[in-house]
Amino acid sequence: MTTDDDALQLGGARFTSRLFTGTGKFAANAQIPKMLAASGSQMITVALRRIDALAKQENILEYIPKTVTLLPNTSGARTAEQAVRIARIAREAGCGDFIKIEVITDMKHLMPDNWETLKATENLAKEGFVVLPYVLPDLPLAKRLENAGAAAVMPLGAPIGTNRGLETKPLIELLIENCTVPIVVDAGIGRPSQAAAAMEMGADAVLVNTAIATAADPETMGRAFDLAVKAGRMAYLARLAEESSLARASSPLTGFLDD
Amino acid sequence: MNLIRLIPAKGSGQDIDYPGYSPIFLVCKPLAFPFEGKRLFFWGDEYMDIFVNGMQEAVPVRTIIELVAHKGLEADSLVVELNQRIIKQELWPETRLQAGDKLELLNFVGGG
Repeated sequence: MTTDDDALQLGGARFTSRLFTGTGKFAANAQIPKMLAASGSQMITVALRRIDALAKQENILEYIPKTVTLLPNTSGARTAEQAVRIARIAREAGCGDFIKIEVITDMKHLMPDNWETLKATENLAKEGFVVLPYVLPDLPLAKRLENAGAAAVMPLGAPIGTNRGLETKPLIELLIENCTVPIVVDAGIGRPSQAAAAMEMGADAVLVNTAIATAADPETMGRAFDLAVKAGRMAYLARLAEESSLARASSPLTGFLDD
Repeated sequence: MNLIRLIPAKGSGQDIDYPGYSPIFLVCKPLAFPFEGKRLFFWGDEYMDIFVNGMQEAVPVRTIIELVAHKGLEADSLVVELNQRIIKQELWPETRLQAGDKLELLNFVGGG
């Protein structure tokens, strides 16, 4: 199997790239379309905020090609009700049916509030949204999200913006083994090698924002992540060879010189 | 007399209330002419108290499209929610505002 016939199906759409990206923290919005072209990413997050009357208004949507699926997030929401409201606004505003539910009540560590996220997922799935909840990796919760109609589950690898990689790896592995919906590792991935590791262990996609947006060269970093995600996915499909605690020679140990 | 009272002396620190509830100023017409953040008033229009993005404001507008223009905002990227209902852009000219309305003026920004 090659990665070409290995598209990710999500919400009735088909994604040949398993790298989802974000629009936050770029030094300039003009970097976004270049990053998208270089990374091949077909899904990108945006946020909704009150206008800042003092700042120069720029329409971030103008920097995102129409071929790329918008994934508005509900950042800023502290309750399920607020997340639902933001989701409805985003859809009304023409952003489509995809929604990343992000409910954060812990403003110090920015941990997603799994309980509020579940409530929002239940409501939005009923309203026909393609719901991608961002959560702490917790298997019983993930099963509840699945039952509630989530299109995918997006566990964090490490806290938002930390670039610390797959600190929650064993917990994410439980989700991958036991969930039927796609598992998208969101938050914390700081390096292409970490994205590759997530894909090798069977994640269906990764969502990377900070690591790309705040790299010295976001365009090239986007390309690096694309390659890493493809390599990791290919390795997963090829089935990794087993680990062994004892050394096993790769070359025959007999039939040479003094034998 | 009262017209003059509306105009604070520069650096006076005197804060002028909008004239919405004053019987004298109910008949005053505002003109879009900034004067130390205040406006001059002429006969005719009313100011109305509404909440924009959580802040109470007195605005000399009757519809959403007038509010957008009044605030000097570009329409294209703007999302308007009136009392928790999205108002599509094509309805902005005909959507009248009432005192006490709660408006959210939103736009899409970068986010992860």
